[in-house]
Parts: sequence; C-alpha cells; structure tokens
Amino acid sequence: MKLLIVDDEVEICDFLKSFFEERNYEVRSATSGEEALKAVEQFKPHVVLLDIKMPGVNGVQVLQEIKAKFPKLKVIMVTALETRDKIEECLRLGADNYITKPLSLEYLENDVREKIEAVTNSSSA
Amino acid sequence: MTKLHLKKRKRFFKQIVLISILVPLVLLAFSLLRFLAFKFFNYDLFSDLLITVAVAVVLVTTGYKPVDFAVLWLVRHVFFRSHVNGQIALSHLAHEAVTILNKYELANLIVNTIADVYCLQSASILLVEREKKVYRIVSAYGVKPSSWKHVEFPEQHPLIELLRTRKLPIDQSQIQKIFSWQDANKLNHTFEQLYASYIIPLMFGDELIGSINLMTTGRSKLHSSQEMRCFFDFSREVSKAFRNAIIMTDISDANQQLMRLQTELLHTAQRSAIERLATGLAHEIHNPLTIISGKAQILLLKRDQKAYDTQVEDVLKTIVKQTKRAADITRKLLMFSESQQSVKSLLDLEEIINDTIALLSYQVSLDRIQVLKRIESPIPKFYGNIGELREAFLNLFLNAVQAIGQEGSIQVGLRYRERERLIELSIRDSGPGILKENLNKVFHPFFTTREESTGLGLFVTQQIIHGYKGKIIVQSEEGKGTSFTVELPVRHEKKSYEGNVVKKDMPGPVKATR
Repeated sequence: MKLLIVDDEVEICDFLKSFFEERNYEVRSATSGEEALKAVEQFKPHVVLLDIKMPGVNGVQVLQEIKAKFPKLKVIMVTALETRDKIEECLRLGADNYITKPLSLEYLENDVREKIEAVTNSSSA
Repeated sequence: MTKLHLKKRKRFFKQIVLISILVPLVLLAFSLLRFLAFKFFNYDLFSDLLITVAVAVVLVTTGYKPVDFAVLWLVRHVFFRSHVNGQIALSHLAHEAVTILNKYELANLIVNTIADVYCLQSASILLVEREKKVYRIVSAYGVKPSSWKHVEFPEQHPLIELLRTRKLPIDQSQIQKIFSWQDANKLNHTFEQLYASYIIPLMFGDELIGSINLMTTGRSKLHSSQEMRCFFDFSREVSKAFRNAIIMTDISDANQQLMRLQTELLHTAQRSAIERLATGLAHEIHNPLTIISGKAQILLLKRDQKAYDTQVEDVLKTIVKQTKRAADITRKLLMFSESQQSVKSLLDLEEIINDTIALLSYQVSLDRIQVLKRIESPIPKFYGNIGELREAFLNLFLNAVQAIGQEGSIQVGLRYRERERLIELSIRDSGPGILKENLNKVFHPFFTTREESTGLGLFVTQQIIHGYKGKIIVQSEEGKGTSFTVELPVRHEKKSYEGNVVKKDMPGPVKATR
C-alpha cells in the first residue's frame, strides 16, 4: 500500500504522512510538482494525494503527466478551493476524486483504501 | 369625368340623390306629356301599356345624363373639400414630424396618416441603416408584419441607385416608358416586394435616407399630377424629420449598448475579482485550518488508546467543527461569484435564502442587525439558474444591510401565492428609507447614494428577475424603511425543446417537472 502525498505546505505533508504510516501505509511526500514527478517514477505509488495550487509545476500539470505515463495510477486531488471550471478540468484529465480542505481524515482514509484495493485487485486478477 | 373617383359611401350617396331627382323629374315630364297629348290629340298615354313604358324609358334615358352630371358636380364639391382637408392634415403632419425623434414612431405616424388621408391600400417606409449599409422597411400599413419585416435592400440595389440618382418619385405605370424592357421587369419585381405602385424618395441633400412606398387603388385620392406634386413636397419636408430621427435613434441605441456593455464589463470584472479573492484567500486560510483540524482529528481518533476526559474530547470536536465552518465562508463566497455559467435546474429557494443569510451573518451580527425570517412552507421548486438567483437575493440582502448601517432589523418573507402561481420574496429593512425623487431611480445602472457602492446591485437584480418574467417592486417610506418584493412566476409546463435540452444535461432533478 504505497501512497504519495504532494503538498507545498510541509506541515500538511508531515501530519498526513504520520497519520497514514500509523495505519501501515508506505508513505512518501513531495512539496513541489517537480519533486512529485520524480517520486512517482522512483517510488511507484498506488495512490497520489495531489494539491492543485503549488508554485512551479502545479497540480493540474502533474496530474496530466502522471495520467500520460501511468494511466492506471489513482490520483486524488486535494485542494483548498477551486472554481468549478478547475474542478471539471481535473476530472476531465482523469483525476479519480476531488477533496477539499480542511480534510475529514476518516473520509480520506476510506477513499485511499478503496482506491488501493481497486488497483491491487485488478492487478492480481 | 370617368377619371373622377369617389369613395364607395359617396358613390352610394350619389345614386340616392340621382334617383330622388330623376324620379320626380320623369314623373313631371310624363304628366306634362300626357296632358299635352290629351289636349292636342285627344289621346290618353295610359291607354296602351307598351306606349307608356316606351315613353318612360325615353324620358329616363334622356334625363339621366344631365342629372348625373349635375349630381356629380355637387358631390365633387364635397370630394374637393375633403381633398383640401387632406392637404391640411399633411402640412400638420409635416410640422409634427419634426418633433418626433424616434424613427420607428415617426414612420408609424406617417404611414398611418397618409394611408388614412389618401385612402391607400398600403403604405410603407424604407429607411437607411447606415451601420449595416442596408435599407429596411421600418413601418407599414395594410401589409402583414410577417411579410415586410424581412424586406431589405443593400446600398447597391438597382432601386436604391435609381432613387439616389433620379431623386424623383417613380410611378410603376410609367416605368415601361422610361426604362428598357429588362430593367422595367426587374423594377416591377421590386415594386411587388415593397407592395407599392409609387415610390417616393426621401432625400436630404444628395443623401438618400429612404423612401415612402404607396399602393393606390381606384378609390385612393392620389391620382392627379397636382396631388402627386403636393405629396412630393410633403415627402421633402418629412425627409428632414427622418434624418434627425435616424441620427437620434442611432445615438440612443449606441448609448444604450454602451451602457449595457459597461455594466456587463464591470459586472464580470467584479465577479472574476471575487473569484480570485476567494481562491487566493482559501489557499491562505484553508491550509492552516487543515493542519489545525487534521491534528485535532488525529487526537480524536486516538481517544480509545488515550482515554481523554469528556472535556478534552468536546474541545477537539469543537475544533474540527469550527474549522469546517470557517472554511465554509470562503466556499460560499466563491459559490456566489460562480454564477452565469451554471445551467438551469429545479431550485429550492428556501435553501438559497438560508445560504445568503449565512453568508452575511457575520456582518449582520457585527452591525447588530436582527434578521427575522418567515417562510410559509411548502414553497414549490423553482426552475432557474442557481448562480443568478443567489446573486439577486444577495444583492437585495446587501442592500438592506447597507441601508440599515447600525442596529435595525431585516424581515425576510417567502411564500407561494398559489392562485397566481407566484413565489413571493419580500425583504423589508428598518433603514432610513429612500427619498421620493430617488425611488424610481434605484434600479438604474450606476445609481447609488453610497460612495463605496458601484450602483449595479439592484440593476443586476432587476435584470435577473426580469429574465424569469418576474417583477420587482420597491416601496419606501422616509424614516421607516424600504421593502423590496420579488414575484417569480412558477412555470409548470416547460416547452418541449427546452425540456429535451435540459434532460440531456441534467438527468437528475429535472425529471421531477411535469
């Protein structure tokens, strides 16, 4: 169960990382788009939690690249607040879900678990 | 004499006069003849029926012509008098025309008056539209609007060229003599398009402004060359009025368009500014809120292992709940600015009103304003654009809040008037009220009495409500407050094409409509 957390806010990465590690996930975090793309190649996560608003390469661009290279990788967009157009754009580009901050950790964990189960089931089948 | 045309009514009147003169005259002549015949020949004309009839016929045929001539002469005087009246009417019309500055109004007046004065079968006015470089019929009498609304000629059209160069009226019956066979044929077609037998150009200097197009019939009073000349003089007078009206109409159209564009521009700018503000603000606020709320949630999830006392647990729960509430405010702000693009759906107006009140609750409590809500459920769902209605309601609330300033109350009412199928929203504030002279200006764009306001709120609100064929009414009493009442008609049956489109877009909520 490998999870990549991408957020330019280090504090958010840290507490999410410890939250998921306590629940036996293997977690990496990245604080920029560039870092995230590298981590995806090396770490090969099952699910990515991806913030939209980041300096440099933003979440939407990261999403596009991930879906181009690894179409099966699940991506959950996590964002403060975005216009409907932005949300629709993400879903069109293949985002698997869309969650707004502040997060409900219970909901987030359920969603991540579901996505990972879907991936592992389909690959083992 | 045969050229003399009379109205049907007058012709009937003439016949009556003719008979009433002819019959006694014939009887008199017959009696005289009988008396003479009896005296000199000792012969009674009545003794043979055949001879009686023959004499009567001879008398009638010889008497008819002179009597008819005399009666016609009499009637012609009546006719001639009305013709003079027609000329007076035209000269009045020419004077009045100068004062009318709307080209459509002017064209309507002229078309109707000349058709009446000259007993025309049809009359229309063609006017130039400079921007589009076409001549278009703007008003017509005696022709169905559906058949003249689309009639327009480009500047290079042969008729337009002809009117511009000749500058004289064209009579359809004369074109065969003036033009070649082909040209006359083409022109005939144009005359048909204009439902005319005469086309009189409206010239201003060398500029062709348009034309007056007339169709005469046997009973029309526009046949002698003198009458035509008189009418041409009139058209020259009216040309000036038309030129002024065209310029004025163009200016006022351009003005209105400018005003609309300016409003739209400001409105969109305002909206995109709010959007940027909301998303930017959210980034700054929601991240710290996420950390606060997230850490509190982590502690809460550990409650089984740590065994907190209830107070700690309550505090943690409150932190999570309140951070969510704080985040909601920026979300609502964005929700309100994202409006125009959204599609129509069935809306719960009560919910929209509650959302609007929630958005302003902070400011309202800060200003010590009491909001009294009175909703008479059930309120039927309303088919509309959620963003538009949110914006309309928000503007009305904001207006009330700003009118009160400090301390006061806002009464919000929502009810359904079943018989009229209207949803009625009323918002009454306890503010200082609106000055009487300003009352009819409140919906004008850019009208405001507050420095910080753009003066667009109520204008936009009115536009939105009108978009739903609704009404917005303002009532105000100085010193007591102002109330706005919005009436929105609930449409139960939707046009099928609209329904189809919507069903495709939004399969969910629309199915509920009848």
